[in-house]
Amino acid sequence: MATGFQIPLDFKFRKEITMESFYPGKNKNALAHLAQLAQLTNIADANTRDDRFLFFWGESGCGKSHLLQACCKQVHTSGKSVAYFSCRQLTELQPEIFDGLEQCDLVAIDDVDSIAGHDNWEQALFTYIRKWRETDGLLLFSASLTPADIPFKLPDLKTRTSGWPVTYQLHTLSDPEKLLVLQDYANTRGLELNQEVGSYILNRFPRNLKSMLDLLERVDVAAMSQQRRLTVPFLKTLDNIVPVPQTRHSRGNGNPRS
Amino acid sequence: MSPTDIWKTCQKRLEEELSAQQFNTWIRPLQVQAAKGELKLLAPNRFVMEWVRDRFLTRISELVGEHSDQEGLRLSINVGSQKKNSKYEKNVNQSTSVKVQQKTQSPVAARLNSNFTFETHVEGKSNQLARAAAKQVGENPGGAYNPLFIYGGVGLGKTHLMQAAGNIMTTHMPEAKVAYIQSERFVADMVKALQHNAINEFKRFYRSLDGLLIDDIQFFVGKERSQEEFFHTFNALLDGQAQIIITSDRFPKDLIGLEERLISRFGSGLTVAIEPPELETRVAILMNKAKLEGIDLSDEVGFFIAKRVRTNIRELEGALRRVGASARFTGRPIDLELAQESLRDLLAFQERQVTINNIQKTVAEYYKIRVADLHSKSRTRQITRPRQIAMALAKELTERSLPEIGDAFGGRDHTTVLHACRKVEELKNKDIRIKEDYTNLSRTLGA
Repeated sequence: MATGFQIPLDFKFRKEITMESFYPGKNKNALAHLAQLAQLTNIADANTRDDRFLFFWGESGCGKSHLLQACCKQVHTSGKSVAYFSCRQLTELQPEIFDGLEQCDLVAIDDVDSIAGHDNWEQALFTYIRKWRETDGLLLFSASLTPADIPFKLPDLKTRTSGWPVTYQLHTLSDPEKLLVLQDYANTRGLELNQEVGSYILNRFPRNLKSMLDLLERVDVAAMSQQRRLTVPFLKTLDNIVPVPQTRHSRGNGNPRS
Repeated sequence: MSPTDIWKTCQKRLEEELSAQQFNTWIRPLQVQAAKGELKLLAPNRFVMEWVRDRFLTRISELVGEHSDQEGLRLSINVGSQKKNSKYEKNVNQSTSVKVQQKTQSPVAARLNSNFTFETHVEGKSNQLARAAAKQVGENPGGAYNPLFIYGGVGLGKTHLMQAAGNIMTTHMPEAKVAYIQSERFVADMVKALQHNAINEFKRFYRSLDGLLIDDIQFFVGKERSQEEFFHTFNALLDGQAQIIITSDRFPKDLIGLEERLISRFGSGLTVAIEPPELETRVAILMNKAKLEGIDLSDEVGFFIAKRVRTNIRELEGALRRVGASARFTGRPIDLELAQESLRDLLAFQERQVTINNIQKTVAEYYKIRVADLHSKSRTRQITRPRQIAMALAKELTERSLPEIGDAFGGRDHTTVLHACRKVEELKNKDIRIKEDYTNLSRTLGA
């Protein structure tokens, strides 16, 4: 082989987005609460509870989308109807996406703060919340702001989102925790990520977990094609490895443990 | 393989092929309906259905072809759901069938929430009048207070009082047809009735009621056709001495965009306001709610929460739920420390929000003056009134001392602040406009 490079198989490694693969860090209570709701065998039981509406907020990369999608997966796997969407895709979507969602056992709305200031969307969300209230279903919201901080124009929507749900702030992981997640993730890909390499990544690249995982994914592809082990000198040769800005489709699964 | 199994396999493949975001948004919500020789997919709404049809159906069709052992299995996608879990739907269905057997049964009475009673409502100075009026109306519907118009900020318990009155009506007169409806729903139902050529049934239904409770009437603003229909319904019901209760987030005259004749009708009965609850009532509400939910809440923690969550009852109850959930998941007793921890972000918000600077900015914007005017020596009425209001708000909403407040207003003496607070209190009782300004500002500041 003249170049010494090997073309890696076009195999996309899928990060498993499950409740188990969420590394809780400081978010144990949030995870426990969500897990309890997700395990309800009879969703109607949730109706007797005052905590069937959860709101998770925290900065990008703290695992909001991971939690919401993992919960959807678990509830869906047990044969129940679920719906999920991210309001970050607002320009692609239309407020009609709320129609009929009250029929679902679980509805998870990611990045709900993106709706603020869009009259039609605020009205649709408000109407949906009212309809949801008459059902037995579970409702999950996520946002980067606290419910009270979201600048909704509709006052009723503001009090409903800040008054009803049990709210959890999702904390980002500490550096050592991020390193653990990175190492776990590397292991599942058959890579060995030692302390030195981990520290190198932590000190030189954006420390948002999502970016770090994306970086690792690209390093892995390079390591495979060049048949190199993961070392600091190897990383230094990869001058083209710069974190890719978050895109709509790549963002969101910020917290896989395995 | 059954259609359900085929679909499961297809989903697995699609989960591998699509991004998690795409899969969760478009594929996961689809349900499969078993049908002979056909794989019928159901989407929750038209939007999802069209999206899937335009972007994924070809691929789904290929996958179905790959995994199906049936020749020519047809694939279709429609809007629908396998189950209806809406209580509303259930109630309507149940009562429709009951209606066939027993004509006197109200088809919509079930839509009253039986938890909203006067027993579960906490009385305070802020809602005393509204509560007394609602009770009176519940016991003597169609009497002097018709319509009863309850207005006040969001989350202050208007719906609770309205439904409590409705519940009394149906307890006293089980035959009575009492409907509770949110105004947007009235509009939506009317539009649907018009589309399906069923407007006469719609009219007949609403005009046959003994009690109509219509919530959040402000959503009628700008909906002329609905206003027109509501006006006629309203008159027909009043003529027949049916009780009407209306709630709104503002005073009838402030419902700009609503027909004048409706506004004047709304004012023809009794109009009562609900104010934000004062501290003692907030504590009582918390203790009451905690008792109902079996949460062990001490007075100390009750006061701690009520002192900090001042906006409205909905947020107060939300705070209690959070503390309750924290206790449940940590196994710790509810003490001050736990309350502080679980409400940290909420409290940080409140404290961040209400600062003297913020109050000055908000008041200046409200009265269209400059913040500098509030600091200035100017003694003209246009400036002194807002300045006094801002000082009174600073005293009520922050924990700053009076000298500090005086300082923040151009180095004034603390006695000036004291005078301002007394003056504003006096004006609030005399001048409805000042009172409303004060309430609006207070609400804007999130308190």
